[in-house]
Amino acid sequence: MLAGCTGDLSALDPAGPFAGAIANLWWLMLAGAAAIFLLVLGLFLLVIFRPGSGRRVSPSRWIWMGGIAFPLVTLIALIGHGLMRGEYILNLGIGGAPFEVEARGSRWRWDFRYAEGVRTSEAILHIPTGRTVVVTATSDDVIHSFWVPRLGGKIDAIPGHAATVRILADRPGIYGGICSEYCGTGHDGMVFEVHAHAPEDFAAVLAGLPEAQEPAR
Amino acid sequence: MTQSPRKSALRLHRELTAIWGTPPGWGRLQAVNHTIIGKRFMMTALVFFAIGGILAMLIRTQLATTQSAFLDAASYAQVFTMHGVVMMFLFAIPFFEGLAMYLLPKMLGSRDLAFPRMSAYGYWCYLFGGTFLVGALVAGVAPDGGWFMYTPLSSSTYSPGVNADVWLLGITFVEISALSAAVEILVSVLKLRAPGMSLTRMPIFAWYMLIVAGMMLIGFPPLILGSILLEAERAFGLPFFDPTRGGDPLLWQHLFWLFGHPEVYIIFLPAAGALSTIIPTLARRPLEGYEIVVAAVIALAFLSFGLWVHHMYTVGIPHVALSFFSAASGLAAVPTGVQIFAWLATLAHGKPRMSVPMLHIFGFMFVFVLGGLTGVMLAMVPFDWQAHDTHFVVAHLHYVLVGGFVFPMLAAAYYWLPHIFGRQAVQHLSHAAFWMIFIGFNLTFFAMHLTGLRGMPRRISIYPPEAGWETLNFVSSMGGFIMTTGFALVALDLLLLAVFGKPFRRNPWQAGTLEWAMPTPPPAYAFASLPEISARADQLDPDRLGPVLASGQGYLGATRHGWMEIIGVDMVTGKPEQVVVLPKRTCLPLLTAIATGSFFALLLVKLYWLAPLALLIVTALFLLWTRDCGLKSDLAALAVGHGTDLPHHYQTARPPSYWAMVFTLTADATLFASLLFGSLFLWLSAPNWPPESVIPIDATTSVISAVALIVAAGLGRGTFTSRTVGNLCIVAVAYAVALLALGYVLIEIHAEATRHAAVASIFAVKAYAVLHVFIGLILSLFCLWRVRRGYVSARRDLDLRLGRQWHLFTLTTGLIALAFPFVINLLAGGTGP
Amino acid sequence: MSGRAVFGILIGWIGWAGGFLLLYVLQATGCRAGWDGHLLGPISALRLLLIITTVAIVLVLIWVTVKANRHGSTSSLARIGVLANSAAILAALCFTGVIWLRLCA
Ligand code: HEM
Ligand SMILES: [Cu+2]
Ligand SMILES: [Cu+2]
Repeated sequence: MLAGCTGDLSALDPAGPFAGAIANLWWLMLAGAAAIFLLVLGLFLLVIFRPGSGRRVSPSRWIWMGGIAFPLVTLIALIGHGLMRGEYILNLGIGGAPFEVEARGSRWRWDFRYAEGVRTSEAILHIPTGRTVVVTATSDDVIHSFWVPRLGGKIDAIPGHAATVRILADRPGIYGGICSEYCGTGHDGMVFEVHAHAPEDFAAVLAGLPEAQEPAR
Repeated sequence: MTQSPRKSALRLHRELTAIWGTPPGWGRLQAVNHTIIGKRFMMTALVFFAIGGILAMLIRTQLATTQSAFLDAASYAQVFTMHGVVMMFLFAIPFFEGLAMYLLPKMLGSRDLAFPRMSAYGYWCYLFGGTFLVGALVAGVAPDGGWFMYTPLSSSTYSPGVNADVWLLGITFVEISALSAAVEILVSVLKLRAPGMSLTRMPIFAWYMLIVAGMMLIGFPPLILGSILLEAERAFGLPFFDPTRGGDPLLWQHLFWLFGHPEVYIIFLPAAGALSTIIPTLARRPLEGYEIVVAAVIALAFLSFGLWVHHMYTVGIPHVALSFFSAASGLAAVPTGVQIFAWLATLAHGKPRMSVPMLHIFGFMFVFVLGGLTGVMLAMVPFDWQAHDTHFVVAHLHYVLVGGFVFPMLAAAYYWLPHIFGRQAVQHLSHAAFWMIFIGFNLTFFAMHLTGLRGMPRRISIYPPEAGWETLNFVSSMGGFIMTTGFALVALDLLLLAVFGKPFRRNPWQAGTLEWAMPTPPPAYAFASLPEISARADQLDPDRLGPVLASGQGYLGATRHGWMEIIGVDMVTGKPEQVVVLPKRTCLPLLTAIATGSFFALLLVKLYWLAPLALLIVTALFLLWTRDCGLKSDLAALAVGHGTDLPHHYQTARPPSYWAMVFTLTADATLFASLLFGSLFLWLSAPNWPPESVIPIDATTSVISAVALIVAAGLGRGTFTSRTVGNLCIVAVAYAVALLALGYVLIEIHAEATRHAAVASIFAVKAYAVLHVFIGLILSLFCLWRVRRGYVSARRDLDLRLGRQWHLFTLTTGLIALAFPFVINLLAGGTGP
Repeated sequence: MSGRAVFGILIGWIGWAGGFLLLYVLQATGCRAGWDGHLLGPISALRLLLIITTVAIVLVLIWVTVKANRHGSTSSLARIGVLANSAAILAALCFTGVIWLRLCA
């Protein structure tokens, strides 16, 4: 089963705490959903094929217990949990001050800027491992979306806006990224890579990147 | 009465058919009858479903293998966009509108809807608008930015062709029919029921449709506003969505999803209403928890307006704001659960019988519950950060739409087709067809959840082999073809039913609702006489009622002056209140729809100077509609049978048209409020604010317009006196003055309006006021004309009262529009003009 | 008048929708104006404002429900009203995030 979930872009094969927290949430919800699905469908089949079997429970009990009490309790718990997890992801800082990068989408490529816009790279984002990376996404033309499924959630790159997402890679390696907001005919080719380097190598990698022509926005 | 009941029934049938029937041949173009219009809506929607299905097959063919060269990226974009557009706007909504139009008068014990000509007009608008969209696809210029058309991709910079205009104009054209259907359904359900049918005796389907119609009234205006603003940006450069000039792409997203999410529930609830009707019949037991189901549907209706931002979790909105929407999205599952358990309780306490509709109800349960569960998952903000815009979402939305709409509608088709054709199913293919659809569907879309989680974004036409998505996609495509074959079998099966089905006498399902208390296929007048209802109208006995009504023993069991008469009741109690006399069939709806279509066509080909002419023709045609309305002399009360005398609707305080005006203005107010909030949103969120300089607004013209509007509203009274003519003349002059003053302001700022969204929004607000002043002018002249022609008296002052509503509305919105620039200047940090 | 009876079953949810909109607008305005930076003791001015607003919304919802139902739930329509209005009060749960979630981006 798990083997079927791997792949360069698989959100089910997390490689850091952000993607991991979400993958956990998914497995939790999957288990709950499966149980609820079996319950409801089982009840349906029961009342159809065993007529009379549900008659011991009064109609209003059916509705108040099954339709109100049960979902209400489950949902309040789930929503609270979901929000807690969101807050965790939004605040989690690992490895000291977050490393900041800017991801700029334009049809149809990604450019990245580091260190207050001094260094740049194209199509490959370099990050240190073990340290929270705050990616600020923006766009020069239409809306794109920055997404590295194995490292964290996605964030839309909207012209005139600058929103952030946190990603983190536990281990050095290459992780796939893909634009996930439709942006025109080149949308399917708007892929990029994230190269995660061990902290001790990272300064050298950064220093080797070309300098920016124009300042960051 | 010397004749036998049977003979008198026949005579009544002949008389009523002569009055209500639609002549064959060219006469069909005049049809306004709800049975015919309802069937047309459904048939046309099915044709569009087939087209959407073919497009789906193209998508699945393209995605079946990696690096497929079947469609290029540009064609693929048109195909997936049009698939979504056709399915949502041209199939789902019109189909349930048609079903509601067909069923509601029959279930409510009435003879037709409140505004039959509006239904016909709505149908033609839908047909022309839909044809226009599909025609664009054939011509290769179909919309290609996805069904939600995000800007700036859909702006003139990035979509210079007409493709986006086709979407904006075509959809707005089609939405006219949705809005008119909403008003029509609201008024019909509230006012046109059988005597004695109080609100809480209504069959549950009517409650569902009442609430859905209310949702449409509030839900569609934001979309229409968004489309108008985006078209104004594309055509005239007003930068509402352009971030470089103070606009904001997010404004479009808010406006679209403020419509788009309720839309999903607007599609689901009619289907749930059908289920709430069918399940009790098949369980041989009335619906359990009628009251709590109604409360749940109300809750769902409101909740559905509080969760649009769950489509925007990834745009960077602060977490606390997301939490409102996340919680509302999650909680929406509770009222849904109430309905599901009400159905389960009904089945549990009834004696369910297996039948083809029940099979589809099983399909619904299985598929919809899964879709609902993935919906709750997506409502959780962090999970959506991963799943958003992937094939997981595509899977979810199809589980909900196919489970929550297509399966229930298939159940409804098998359940009500006997009513439409007067024949019962043959049942050779039904089971095989169901299982093919069911298995095919789950193969297609279950796999897609995993494809999405493994990283496949939606709307991509090719994917690399190393992504590892090929097997899953191949499974999806094969499933898709199985499902399509299943749908073809259903089509064949239903055709066989229509042709070879065996006729039946009455009420084949032993249902307890009124639509079965009439001959099938139904006659044009539906009921030869109207029943008196003294129990909940899903627990009646159609077999006993049918013959009684057919022989004219109910209300209105005789004809008079060749009038098309129905009974209007008190909204809540169902006490008979008035005789509503409907207008005759006519070609005018068709002609008006053609004129409306030419307006949109002129905009599309950018003949902007000609477009106002088309609007004038539309206005003139609408005025012609009124020739068939009204009375020239006061009438005494009319006998309706059972010793009851009721006034003609023209002589009552609250006739259907009064409520239609109330609801139309509600929709209108929603549009205006969206515009104001939209401007406020730009101030809050858009980049490049404030504008460099304040917007100069001339205080003199504002004062003049304000005074003129106050005069118009003050003198445009709702009662008829000797001073009415004089007053109306002053009202018209006042409107003319306001029109000039506001028009002058528009011309003054139009050049500035392309400079910054702040000015553009002032322009839009003023243009809104100008339009309303213009209509006010026409209305006051119209009232004058009606007075002169003798249509108005102290007891027949409806025209004046409708005008009064408009004048007050125009005054309120007009004053806000006049104050608006000052507010914007203040917010933008200026010191005011 | 009969319009009022229909209104009575919607009033709770209309209040909920109004409250929802109010909170959303306040939150956005507060973030733009920087009220989240003003600390009043342990919490920010914006959070305090949102919490007070939420409490006010709940009180208003309770008040309209009681008022709409002062004739008792004798008719079927009135019972629907009680159910719908109570559900609206319950749905104020949606707003509880103002207590503890991050206010501005
Ligand atoms: C007949 C079976 C159907 C199949 C095989 C099918 C297949 C698909 C597929 C594969 C997509 C994703 C396209 C992409 O992201 O590239 C899609 C999108 C969509 N489908 Fe369907 N679909 C079917 C029926 C329906 C129905 C019945 C509805 C609605 C009532 C519907 C509404 C939509 C919408 C709204 C989209 C999104 C379009 C967009 O991304 O702009 N589909 N469909
Ligand atoms: Cu893209
Ligand atoms: Cu939604």
